Amino acid sequence: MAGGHYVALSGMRTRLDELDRLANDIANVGTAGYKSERTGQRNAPRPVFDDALETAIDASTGGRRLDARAGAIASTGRAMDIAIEGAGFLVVDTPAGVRYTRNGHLNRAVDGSLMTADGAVVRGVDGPLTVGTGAIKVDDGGTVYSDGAAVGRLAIVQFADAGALVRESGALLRGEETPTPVALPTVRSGSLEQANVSVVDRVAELTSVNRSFQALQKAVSVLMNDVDGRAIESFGRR
Amino acid sequence: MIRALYTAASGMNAQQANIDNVAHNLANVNTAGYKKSHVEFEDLFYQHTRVPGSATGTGEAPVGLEVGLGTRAVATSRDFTSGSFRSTGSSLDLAIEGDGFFQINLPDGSTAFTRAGSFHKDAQGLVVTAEGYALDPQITIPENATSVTVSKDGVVSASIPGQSAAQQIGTIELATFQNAAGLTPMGGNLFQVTSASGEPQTGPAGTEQRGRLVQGFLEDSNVSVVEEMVNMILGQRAYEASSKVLKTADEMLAQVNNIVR
Repeated sequence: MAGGHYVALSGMRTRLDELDRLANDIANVGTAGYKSERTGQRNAPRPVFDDALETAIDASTGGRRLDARAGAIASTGRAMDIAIEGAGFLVVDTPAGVRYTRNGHLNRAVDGSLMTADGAVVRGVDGPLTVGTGAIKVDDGGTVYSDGAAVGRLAIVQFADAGALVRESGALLRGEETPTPVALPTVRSGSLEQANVSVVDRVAELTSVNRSFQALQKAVSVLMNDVDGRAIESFGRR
Repeated sequence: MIRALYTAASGMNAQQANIDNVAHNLANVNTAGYKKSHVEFEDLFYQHTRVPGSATGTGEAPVGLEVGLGTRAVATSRDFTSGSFRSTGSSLDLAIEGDGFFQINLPDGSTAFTRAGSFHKDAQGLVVTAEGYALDPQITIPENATSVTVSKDGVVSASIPGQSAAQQIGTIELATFQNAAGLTPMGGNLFQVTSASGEPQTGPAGTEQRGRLVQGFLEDSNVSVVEEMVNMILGQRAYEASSKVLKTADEMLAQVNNIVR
């Protein structure tokens, strides 16, 4: 039997993985600060099969990269919503360790600190920010004011290779690399960064995945039903 | 394959919650003291199909492979920005110019908080809400009072025929919270204290950030119809996109079933 089935099958598998990714991107179109991810497909030679099959080359999902491009900035009018213009991530402390995020939906904790909707404490440049009960304002440089008095500056950091960040639930990102602080961050208060998912692009991709899956299915079907089936039929007749 | 089906379903569920919330906001566009809320989403956890550093046969995988499992609505955050003030002319309609809340005694003995300052006089002269719950601290208007005045700092006085000076009959106290967004709504424009909001800090109106009272005005709902319409359109389109994924996943499953004929 020809090895074509397996090649086509591996192609179908990568399309299924791609579909899972697309589904996740589209499901998160409303998640503030969500970052999409790009994966490539690559040829995965299988040395083990070399002896048996001449064309044993699989398609498999290649390396993934975080799509660190900014999403659209939408105005919310809430003083405690902030969006970072240009490069930079907020630094938050979670029970699992330090995480980074572009989701600037800040909340007041009962103890007066700033935290995310999930309860991760937002870090300032000089330790945690205590805002108390006063009216909060964040200026363009990321300095937080409570009732007009400055309480500290939001820690905003950047990565040399933001594409290597790994996504975690809650629009949080995990990085191995030690980040450097952004010297002059630009913070927009009263707005939130939306997911950087383009629905148009994702639905187009969806169609392409669907069609290539269809073509591969056809290939498997032809190989199995027509080529192999006919071979078995005609050779079996002798 | 099955993952994409459930991921798309999670996206549709989340957008459904979004539309429900928009509907609630729009339905309350004329409710005095109503505070709009909006749904916050977050991505669900990631399933690791290949851990970075795992052996691949030819070496080590330099990067892992994670597939996200969709989205969920994580919070409805309430926006306590002030609505516009509407003049009503009624002497017991009070608007708060600031962050405070009126305190209301519930029949079960607990205290609820509200921004809706539409008060009335009951049969005993007690100042009550439209539902009949008494304002805390209680204020009783004398039977023969001709008019009631509420000062900016909450002092309530009544003019009584035959008396030249107005008689002080009580002071309205307001409550503020460390984190007002942490209050839970209990319907009827009332909010309840939670551990996230912190305990109420009460005091006479006009002190600290409690806000001053404006008599004869009501605070309108802070819902912006334009904003809700935009949210509705976005929610509907996102729902549609997720349903497209669901359909594609279904078509691909059907094709798998067609491999063998």
